[in-house]
Amino acid sequence: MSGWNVLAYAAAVVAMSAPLLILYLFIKEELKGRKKR
Amino acid sequence: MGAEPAINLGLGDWLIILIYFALVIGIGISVSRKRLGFDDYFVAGRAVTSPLLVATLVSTFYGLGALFGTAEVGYMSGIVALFSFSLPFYLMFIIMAILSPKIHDRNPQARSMVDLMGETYGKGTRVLAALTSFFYSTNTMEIMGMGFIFSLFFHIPFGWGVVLGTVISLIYTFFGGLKADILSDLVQFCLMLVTLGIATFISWSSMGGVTGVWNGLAQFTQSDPSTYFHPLGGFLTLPLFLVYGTTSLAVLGDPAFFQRIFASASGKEIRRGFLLGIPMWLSFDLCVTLLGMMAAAATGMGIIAETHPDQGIIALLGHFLPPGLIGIFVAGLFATAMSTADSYFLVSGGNLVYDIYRPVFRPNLEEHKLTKYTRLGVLVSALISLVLVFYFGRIVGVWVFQASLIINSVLFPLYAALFYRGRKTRLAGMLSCGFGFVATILYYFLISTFGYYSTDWETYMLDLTIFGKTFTIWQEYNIFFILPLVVALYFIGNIISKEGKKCPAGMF
Repeated sequence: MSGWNVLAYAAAVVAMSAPLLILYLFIKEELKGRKKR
Repeated sequence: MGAEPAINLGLGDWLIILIYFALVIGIGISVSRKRLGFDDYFVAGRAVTSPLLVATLVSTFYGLGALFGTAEVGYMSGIVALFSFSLPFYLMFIIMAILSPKIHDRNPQARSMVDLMGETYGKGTRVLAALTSFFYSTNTMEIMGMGFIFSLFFHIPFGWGVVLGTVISLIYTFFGGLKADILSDLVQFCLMLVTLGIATFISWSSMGGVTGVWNGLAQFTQSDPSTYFHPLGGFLTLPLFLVYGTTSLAVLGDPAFFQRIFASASGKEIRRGFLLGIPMWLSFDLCVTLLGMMAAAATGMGIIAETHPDQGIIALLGHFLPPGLIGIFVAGLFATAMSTADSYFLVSGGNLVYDIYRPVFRPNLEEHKLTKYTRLGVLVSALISLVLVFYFGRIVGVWVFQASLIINSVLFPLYAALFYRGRKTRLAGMLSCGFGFVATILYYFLISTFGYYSTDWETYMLDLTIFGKTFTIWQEYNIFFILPLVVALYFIGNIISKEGKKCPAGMF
């Protein structure tokens, strides 16, 4: 039963944190691109 | 079933939703300030890197159809939603991650999936592939979804909500093309996933974790709810899994995916985009399925009133989310719909102008005029989607039809053009694509006219009696009948064609 709790919270955490990761990677690339320019 | 859930928005919720609309419209206007060549407008200057690709791939492919459809199966049957509907798609995403760098690197000048078909098989097949892509890209589901959200949360009449949602999605796509579309997708992707993550977290803990959900489902079903937690849901068999899974093949021919492959800065970037996207698609599906199950459990416990199965998730979150978060949730719903609608408006606008009008009627059309005309094409395609919504309303089985059309008409000749090293003649392209196109439309017409809609399985069926034995044919079976014939016709076309040339893989 507790496996379901882990699964539900893991899905929620991935969904909440994935956009942060993508935003971080995007901003990092933008800053790198600006430095190059 | 029950009535529509009633949810009232507070001032903070309104503010969040307005900020979201202002942000996406602002992105479109700021991108359009720069002078956009056609490559900038249609393939974002071929410079998109993996973070933006992840956001645009995930948010474009998953719309309100996926959200409410998966939630409904979660509500009715449980975790099987993930296994019956979503699992085959992940396999296709993995295949795309493997193939997309090759497609990108071998065709550096291509701008659309239709380009690949046209360059190998000529104008006739190009037009057929463009029409297939156009039909696939009309997104009545998403704009109807926006109409529904406007009517539910803002009490605006459904028709006006449909028009308003379409206009907002159009503004930034019209002005800024794929660049604006992809940047707005980043905002929409964040909202979609954050909303679902927060909603799952709050609802799961408020329901008392799995024990609470189990008890609620026991009350909802008035029996043992263990099938809700079983991957096969008590009904999924291998043949049924294959039937449901066949539509996932559409991923391999999805014109919006191909547009993003060509917009990618390199083959590596697009591969990373698909690979990073898979856990995000998975978390989306898992959250939505669990929210559907929780909605059924909450209904069983009397926490929320009984509603339509696909709207249970709205009633659930209307109950559990505090003011402010409701606003984020509503903005997330709009983001889910708009990120899909805008991308396919752009694809279908490109089909009308870049894939059909220019090669057939104006081969010498200048690039700057191409951008201008494609903008008009985007408007026309949105208008056609609106007409379809107002004329037909909800078109039952539309996703199966659209997926079947692209699988039967385009998939085989497209991948033959890309990877088959043998003879590839115009006749082979025309025969296979033309047969796939006509046969799929005919099949849908016959099964929806002479068959019946099964509310249990939510698909069209037709009972055929042959030699005293009755067979039930599903709408989804068309791929099993038509695709083998498409493959056969491709090789027959190659054999009987008098063309002598042998085209290399990768035409540009």
